[in-house]
This record gives sequence, structure tokens and C-alpha cells, in this order.
Amino acid sequence: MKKRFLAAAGLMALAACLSGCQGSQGTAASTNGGEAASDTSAASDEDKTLTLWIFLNPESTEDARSIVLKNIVEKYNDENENGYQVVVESMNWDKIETAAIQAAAANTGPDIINFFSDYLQTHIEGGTVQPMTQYAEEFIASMPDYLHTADSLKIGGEIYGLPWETRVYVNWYRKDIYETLPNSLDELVEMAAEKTDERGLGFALGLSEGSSASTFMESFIPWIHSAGGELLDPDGKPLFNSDAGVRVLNTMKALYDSGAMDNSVLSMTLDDVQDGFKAGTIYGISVGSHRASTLYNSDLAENFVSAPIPGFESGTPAPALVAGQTLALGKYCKNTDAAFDFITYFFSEETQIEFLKANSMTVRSSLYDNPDVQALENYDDLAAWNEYASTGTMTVHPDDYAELSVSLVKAAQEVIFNGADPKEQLDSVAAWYNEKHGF
Amino acid sequence: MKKGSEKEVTGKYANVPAYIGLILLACITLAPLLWALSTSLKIPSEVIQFPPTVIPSILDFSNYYKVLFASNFMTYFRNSIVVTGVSLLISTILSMHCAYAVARFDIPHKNALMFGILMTSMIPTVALLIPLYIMAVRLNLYNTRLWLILIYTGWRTPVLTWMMRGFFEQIPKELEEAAMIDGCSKVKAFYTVILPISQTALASSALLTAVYVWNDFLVSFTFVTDEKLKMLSVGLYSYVTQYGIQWGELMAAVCLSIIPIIILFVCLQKRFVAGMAAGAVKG
Amino acid sequence: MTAEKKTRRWKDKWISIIFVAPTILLILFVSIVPMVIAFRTSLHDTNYGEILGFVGLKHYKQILLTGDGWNNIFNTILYAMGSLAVVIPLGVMAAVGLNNKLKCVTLLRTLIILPWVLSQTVVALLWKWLLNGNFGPVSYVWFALTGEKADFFNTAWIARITVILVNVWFTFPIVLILTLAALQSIPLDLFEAAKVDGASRRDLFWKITLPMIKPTILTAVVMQSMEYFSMVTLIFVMTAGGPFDATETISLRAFKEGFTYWHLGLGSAFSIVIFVMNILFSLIYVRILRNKED
Repeated sequence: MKKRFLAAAGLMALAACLSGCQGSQGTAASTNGGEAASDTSAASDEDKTLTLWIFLNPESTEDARSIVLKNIVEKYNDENENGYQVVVESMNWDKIETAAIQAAAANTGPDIINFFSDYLQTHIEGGTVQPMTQYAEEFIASMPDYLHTADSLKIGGEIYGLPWETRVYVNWYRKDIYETLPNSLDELVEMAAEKTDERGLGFALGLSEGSSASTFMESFIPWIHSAGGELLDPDGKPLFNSDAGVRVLNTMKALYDSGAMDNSVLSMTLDDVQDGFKAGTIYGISVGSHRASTLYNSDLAENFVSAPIPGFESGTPAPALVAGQTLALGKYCKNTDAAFDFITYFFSEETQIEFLKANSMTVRSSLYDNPDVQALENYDDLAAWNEYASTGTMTVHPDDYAELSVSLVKAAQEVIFNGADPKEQLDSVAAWYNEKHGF
Repeated sequence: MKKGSEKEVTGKYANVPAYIGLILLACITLAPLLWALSTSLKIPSEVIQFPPTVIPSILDFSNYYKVLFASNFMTYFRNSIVVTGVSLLISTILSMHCAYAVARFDIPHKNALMFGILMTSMIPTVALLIPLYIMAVRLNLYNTRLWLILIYTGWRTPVLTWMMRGFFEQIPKELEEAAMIDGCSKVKAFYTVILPISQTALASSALLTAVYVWNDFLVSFTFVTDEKLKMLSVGLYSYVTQYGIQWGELMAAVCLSIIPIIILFVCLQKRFVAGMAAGAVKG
Repeated sequence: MTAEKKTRRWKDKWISIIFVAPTILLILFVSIVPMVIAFRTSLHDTNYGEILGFVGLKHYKQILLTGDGWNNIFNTILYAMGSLAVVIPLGVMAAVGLNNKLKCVTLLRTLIILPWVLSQTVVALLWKWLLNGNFGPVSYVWFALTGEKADFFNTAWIARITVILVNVWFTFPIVLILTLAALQSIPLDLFEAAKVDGASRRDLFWKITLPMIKPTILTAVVMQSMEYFSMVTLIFVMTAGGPFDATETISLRAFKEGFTYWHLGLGSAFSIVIFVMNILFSLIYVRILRNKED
């Protein structure tokens, strides 16, 4: 009896190993390709697959953008003359950097990679992407209504990625609670404090260091710009420990001191802030335009209204913070011609309109005049965001942006909740950052 | 017979605190899970509603529908079953042999060897990922189930070996000696006498591995990017999407994903209940 | 006779090698080799995945000579010991309870063990949501009862305790399972003999049950302590180390340094520190439990 059981178990194990190996053969192509990437010409004769790493999953039909991606891939696979086949390997958005840098350490990686523009420098320094300057310059020239210019995308004289989507960070309010919207940050503090009641907070900033403190930075940067300051200078040296930086932290502290928000925001990430707003326990938040459709999935949606982030000067909004999903050529790309050809499929008017319908803001400004787009239900929102977006540009962050963000949010936490001196805190972050980079 | 009835009489009163304690404990463990179940049956706008509702006002199965049919759930599910099944078989087989040899054979530096084996499970997984990644690419095992199985098996075997060794050492040597007098070899005695009474240990080991592999995220995420080979934990994580957490779908996926482990548990727990080891010693 | 003995010994030797070798080889391959590479990495400067010049103990100094590093170590020990202090008694008590001949014991056992089958990510997300100060259901009940807003993650010590309790909720079932398996392999005649001698239920527990399951408890303590020392996801998702670094354990720091900030050298050094702590603590547990025995 027992022997038979063991024999059966052994057989099963063997069978599974074999199936495991089969799986490997099926996909060995992509791995081989990555390794053999150094001699491009030899590999391209045999291997016609291009892998794409992206956060969207064409196998899942839930997110409208996934369906658009699926169509792009199918169209390219049908149309391209050399018989290349794009294979999508989707992964969660906050894992793409990890996966790509790990792969780069082993001298392999995808042919095409999609990431969020904040991490462009991280990918360059991490060795996961290669320049696409020649392709990009030519392509941008053929697309006059593209939001970015070839020069604005250049880093050290080279273009590494093309944003195909754009988003702008805006404030959201409950219009049943805010009769008028604040015109300046000081007014925001004042009004938000008034609106706070036992059910909810007047306004909340997510001050957790979770998700690399991204939600804090999405307020900190526009605010510091509005105060006439900068995060870093063009060489990457810290400028945030200026009067402008101090003013920003003091204003954030005023939100807490005035009771507009309480210490629960200390542990809040973007998702928590957003869910609180949807649940009706927070009356004002700052969230990117790309989250609109998620926000509207609430019983309170009819009371939600978005507006530019107010600035320090009454009536002048803070300069917009703009970012977007970006496509790039993998460092170990087998065939850059074919890969770039695929990338261009994301930018056709038709595709961009599809993405607009799926609530991704387009990078082609002329599409706002397109009748199909104007007929969209959320056209007014889109147009307003687009207009606000033009007051700012996409910033290129340093490769250790995540680390800097976490240090900054910790300084802000000390100032806001523990009464530390803002200047001292910002200075110590700047000193650490200077030392780290040998400035 | 007399003994049994006596036990029942005293038991009736003595078990009351046990009941109370256990039911209380069950409530604590269950409440969050019931909340998850309730969430999975709510429509999106009700999920984030304040004050929250305990029972969904409308029972809505669309979350389950989306998880099952609008994603690659079934592929992930199958991969998880295959990898978990094979890993638990191999790790149990390897560790039971190793543990038995250590417990019953004369092996030089036995204790040092055992401590060495155990030590390998003390290194945190985060340190091993990058070296293993580079090895996988060199060996052309990247994006294969085989690599996942090797890693899971190699990481789980030390603890299992350690556990089973303790178990085998508790078994009186007389059992095998009796069998060997009957003409069995030591190996045959292991398979025919020891293993049948070791079912509690084998079941525990299988369960331990199953839960570990089923829930692991880091390994399956790091070494597999191919959609066709992805495991459930990675697929599940993708419900924590770009636009905020889709609570309803996430919870539906969680509820579906724990079913196989519960089934496995219910099947294996009979082994616990049977109390084979105790019975064998007695007889 | 002697010849037979010799062949037998020779045969035993080969059998033991065949039984042990596959395990050793596999462990060598997937644990020891990468571990050596990780140790080597910890002695070098790194730039993303690239290993640069040798820097000796620089990273270890960075850990052991700074307040940050010791704060991480303190948090780790607190987290592991705090969790063990609740998990072990709770797991053993529940197992003893479930070992009784109760009605619906199978159902109760299954229900109590359920949290164990969840993954760390799911547990962390679920509890973070339940305990959210602004819209979580637990907070709602708390508010309804006390009239005050609940605060689970925003004060250092409360956050530490919250994280430990969630960890307990999620990991005590494994101790329960191990103990239960051990309890059921205790020969019943031991109890019967003791009962004949007139031992009370309490005596049975302290004099027979506990000594018999002691090896299992030791296993559970070592296993769980290793797991708690190395735990990342649960804490990372729930608090990301905050507030004010109160829940930042070494493993969390190792993960952040390695995979968020890409300081692989420093991250590897943190991992090696965890490894050393695991060994130290395992030795301490074994020593304590052995001494008690004597």
C-alpha cells in the first residue's frame, strides 16, 4: 500500500517536473533573447518575440485601458511586416522598478518597458533602459500636438522615454460642504478648519511614508513652486530648505493646528485619503486626475468637484504638477527598430481617443478639439485639467527620489506633529542629501 | 466501559470553559474574515460607505464574476495548485528521509549537520533573491515552474527535517527492532512500520509547505513574469491596482483563493484526529 | 557474524547517504550558495545590481554604530518577543482545548485556524482597512462606544502593539497546529495510568502534557521567532515602518534598503544581522528550555 503510494507520489513529482520544463521551453525564447541581446543581428534572425513589461494586463478585461492595450498589441502583431510578436508580461505598478533592476543585474530584461515618469532617472541609473533619441526626435517631429518637446524630454542630451499618458494633481472638494472653493492655501486652511466636524475632516493630506511618501510629495512640490521655491536645482542640489520650503511646512502644520486635519493623517497613504473622501469622512483631498473614475464610484459622487491646487497668492493656483506613464526601450532590447515601431502605436489619434474614453488624459492636445472627444461625458473635467496642466511641466526627479521623499515626509511629520523647527528639519535633510551625493 | 462513562460525567462540566474559550477565539478569528466575505458581496459604492453596513444591502456577485471570468484567475489558480502540490510532495519526501536517517543511522557530526541545515532557514529571503535571480538566468531556469519548486522545496525542507527528526526520535526504537527481527531491512521497516504511524507529522509538514507556497509572493513574483506561469498570489496582488484598492474584487479573490487550502486542511486534519502514533504504541 | 555486521554497516552508510544527500545538495544550491553571495555583497559598495569596490565592514558599522540601526534592532526584538509572548500560550491553550472530546470540534478547529491560510499582504490590507481611523468598521464601533476617534497607527506604542496583535491573530494558528499534532501523539495510557494514581486535570497538564509537548513548543518558538525576525510584508503594508520609525524592524529596513532604495550592500548587511540574530536567539531558546529540563 505505502509503496504504491510512494511510487505514485514519485511519478507525480516527475510528471510535474517535466511539465515545469515544458513551461520553460515555451518561454525560453524570451530569456534566451535577453541574454543574446548583445549581438542584436544574430538574435533577430531567429527570435521574433518582443516582451513588454507594463502594469496593464490584457488578459484582464476589467480595466478599460487593458482592453486598449490588448487592441494595440493585436494590431501591431497583425500589421508589422517582419512578423514580430509582442508578448505582454504584466506586473503590479509598484513592482516594475524592482523587477527591471533585478533583471538588469543579470544582464537581461524586457524589450520594451513601461513605467511612471517619476522613475525615469531610476531606470536610467539602474541600467534598465537605453537611449531612443534618434527614433524619438524624428517621431516627435511628426506629431506637432504632442505635449512634450524633444528637448524637454532630454536627460544628458538623450531621450530615454516617451510619456503616452498625462495626469495632473488637483484638489477635490465636497461641494455640499464647501459653498465656495478656497482661492489660496491660507484660505484653504481657514475654510477647512471651519468645515471639520465630528463626522469628518475638512481637508487631509496623506502623510504616511508608505508608497514612498508619494502622496505627500504631490502636495509638497506644487506648494513649494507656488511659494517661489524649488525642490532641487538643475544639478540636483537641494533647494527645499529655503524660505519657501519652510512656508510650505508651516502651512501644512497650520492645517493640523487649526483642526482641519487630525493625527490620523500620519498613517494615511493615497489610498486611505481617497477611500476616506469616498466614505464621506474627509471633505477635501489632493489626488491626481487619473483617479477620477475611481473617486466617482461612490454614493457621494454627485457632490465631488475638482479644482486646481490653490497657491499662496490668492487667485493664482499653484503651478501644476504633471506626470505620466512612459514607454522606453529595454537595455537588452533585441530589435530597437521593431520595438520603437510598437511604441508609436500608443500615440495614434485613434488609440489616444480610446485611452481618453478609459479616463487616461491624452498627450496630444489637438484631440480636445475632436468631436468624438468633446462628446465624452467627462469632457468638461478633462478640458479643465488639461488647461491647468499647461501651467506646469513634467519634472524629472533624481534616481533616489523615493528615498528623498521618505526623508522629507519624516521631516514634515516631525514639524507637524512634534512641533520641530521646520528650518532645522529641512536643513538636516538637505545636509544628508548633500553628503550622500558629495555636493 | 466503566472508565469511558466516568470520563463523560466529569467531562460535561469540565468542558464548559473550553467551549467558551474556543467559541470566543473562533469569533475573533472569524469576524475579520466575515467582513471580507461581506465586502466581496457589496457593490463598489457600498464598500466605501460610512457608517459601514455589516450585511450588504444588495447581494452582488459581480465581484466574483469579474475575478473568475474577466481575469486570468483560472490560469493562476492552476499554476498555484501544480507548484504547491509538487513542492509539498518533494519537500515532505526529502525531509522525511533525511530526518529518518539522522534520527536512526550513525552519521558523523549529526548535530552539527542538523544545526547547519536549520541555520540555512535563518537567512531572510530578501537577501537571497538577487543571487538566485542571477543563478536562474545563467541556468536558463528563469520563468520556469521548476525553479520555483526547487526554491520552495529547498527553503522549506530544513524546518520540516528538523520537525520530523524530533518526531521520529520520539518513536520507540522497539517498533523497528521488532520488524527487523521478522526479517525486514531497516529501509523496509521505515517504509512499512514507521511511515504509516507518522501520518500526523507528514500531514503537518504537508500543510506547512502548502500554506507557505500558496501564499508566497516574493519568490513567485521575482522568478516568473510569464503570464502563463504566474501564481495566484501574484495575480491576487494585481487587484491592488493603479487606481486604488478594489476592495470588493480583492476580497472576492481572497475568498476564492483560500478554498483549496481549507479543503486540504479538512482532508488532512483527519490524520490529526486519528492519533495514529498513539494507537500504534499502545498496540 | 562479523562479516555480516560489516556489510550491514556498509549498507547502512550508503542508505544514510542516499537519504540525506538530496536534501543537502538542494539546500546547498538554493540557500548556501546565494547566502555566500549575499555576504560578499554586504562587504562591497553597490550601484543598483552592480557590485563595486570592497569596503569591508562599512555597512555593518553603519548599522551597529548608529541610533537608527539600534532602533531597528530594538523594534525587531520587541516585535518578535511581544508576538511570541502571546502566540505561544494562546496557541498551546487553544490546542489543549481542541484536544478535548468536544462536539463540533472539527468545525471549531477549522474556524480557529482560518487566519493562517491568508497571505501577509491580505492580512495587512484587511486589518489596515478595519482599523482605519476615519472610515474603518472597528473605528466606527469604537466611536459609537466611546465617543472618541480610534487611533491605532498614529502613536508609537499603540502602533507597535497593534502590529503585534495583528501578527498574533495571523500566526497563532500555526502554533496551535503543531501543538495539537504533538498532543495527539502522546500515548493515552500515560494519562490513564496517572488517572489511576488519582492525578487531577491540572496535574495531568503540568506533569504529563507539558513535558511531552515541550520539544514541539521549542520547535514552534524557534520557527516563529525566525519568521518574526524575517517578516516584511505584514508590517510594510500596514505601517511602512511608521509612525516615527516605531515599527521599522531590521527586516523591513533590509527590504527597503535593498529593493526600494537599491542599496544592496547595506540591505545585505542588514540581512546578515538578522541571520546572526536568528542564530543567537535560537541558541538562547535551546539553552533556556534545556536548563529548565535539568
